[in-house]
Amino acid sequence: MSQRYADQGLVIIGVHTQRGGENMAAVAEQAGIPYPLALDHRGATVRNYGVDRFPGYYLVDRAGSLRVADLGGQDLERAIRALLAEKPEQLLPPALIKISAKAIAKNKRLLLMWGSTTDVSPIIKLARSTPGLRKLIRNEFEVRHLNRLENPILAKLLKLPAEGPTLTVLEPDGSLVSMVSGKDLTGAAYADWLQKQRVPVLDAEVLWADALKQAKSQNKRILVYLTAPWQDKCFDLEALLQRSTIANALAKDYLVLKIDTERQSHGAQVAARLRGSKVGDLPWISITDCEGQQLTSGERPTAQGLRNIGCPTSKPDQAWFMSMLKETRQHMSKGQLQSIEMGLAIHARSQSH
Amino acid sequence: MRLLITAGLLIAFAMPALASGDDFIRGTRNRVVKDALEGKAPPALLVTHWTHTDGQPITLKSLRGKVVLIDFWGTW
Repeated sequence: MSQRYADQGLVIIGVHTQRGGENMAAVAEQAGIPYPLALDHRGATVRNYGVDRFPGYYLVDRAGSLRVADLGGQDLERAIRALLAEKPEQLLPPALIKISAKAIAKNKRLLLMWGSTTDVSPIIKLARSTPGLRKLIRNEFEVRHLNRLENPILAKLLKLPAEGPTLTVLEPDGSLVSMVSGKDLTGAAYADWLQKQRVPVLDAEVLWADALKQAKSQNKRILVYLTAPWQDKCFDLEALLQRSTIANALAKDYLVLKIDTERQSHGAQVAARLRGSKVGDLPWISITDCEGQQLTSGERPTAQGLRNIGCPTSKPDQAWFMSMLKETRQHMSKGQLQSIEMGLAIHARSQSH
Repeated sequence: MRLLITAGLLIAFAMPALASGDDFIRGTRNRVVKDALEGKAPPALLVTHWTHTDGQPITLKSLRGKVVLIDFWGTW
């Protein structure tokens, strides 16, 4: 990934913790890490950055501002692409920095409600009375209620009408996507407008068809996982599969594909087909061949029946995940399997804080 | 080397049971630190033993104009 975005201006620096520092060089060589690493030899850097999970991803924008302090389990590539795309002249207003970070991390846009509390509360009530609206807002937008007096520069930048309830949708970099008056807004009109302001919606059927095509042409298998935006463990699994050593090793034999059962169109449909049943508890992993036939799934046999390993954290669940790979790998080496095993263990350790 | 890492992991798994009270306080402190950091200039990297750079340290200031991903990681 470092090479892919390097010519767009991405620099990756790996800071290794004080503990285990003597392993850094050797592990880096074994895993083939291509970017600069350094040792936090006194533990001061980890302390000053408040790092409490590993890997801990922090992102600095082109202007030198720390935009994301700990990405958590969110989509790293998406966050990187968002920051790479920002034009340096466009400075983000301080009021938006926090929700911008959240929006980047979860691939959402910003929904700003402008006006007094009296103006805005009927609009907030609409979310309760309009079916599907609360879920739409929760899945797709980071919301903030602002008033013009406290944010005059932003209000001017957005060319807000002088008064009255106004709703604006912004990209995480602060650029305006759309504006609508909140006066006499009906639930249906609100929902309709918001649907049009979502980030581009992916079609799970198209993603799946493309994955099959690519898998066939590259002689790979497909590691597909089902997610939902309200289930935190899905973000954990996404982060786990995106750890560079794990992602690099998996790429040898697998196309890794995420199917979001709520945010992608036809997501629930594709998920049900893959799983052979209703959506069920998430996340859920399956490995299929290039025709889409399931070879193995993230369901561990136990005395009480099959158990979904979800984002594999416990030792038996980690072992089951490794057995899924051992059963279906084609070109992955023993060393790469080992890196994945190590990555799983480190991830599990970081979950127990 | 593998023995070292495995031993380290075994000890690491034993730790949480002993230190949960401290972990909670540290977790709260870290959350406060992270909240305060967003939107500001990042703290300096107080590090040594740079790889891939012929021994030359990299400063965040020198990377203006780039998007920088700092990946805090560990092996223990």
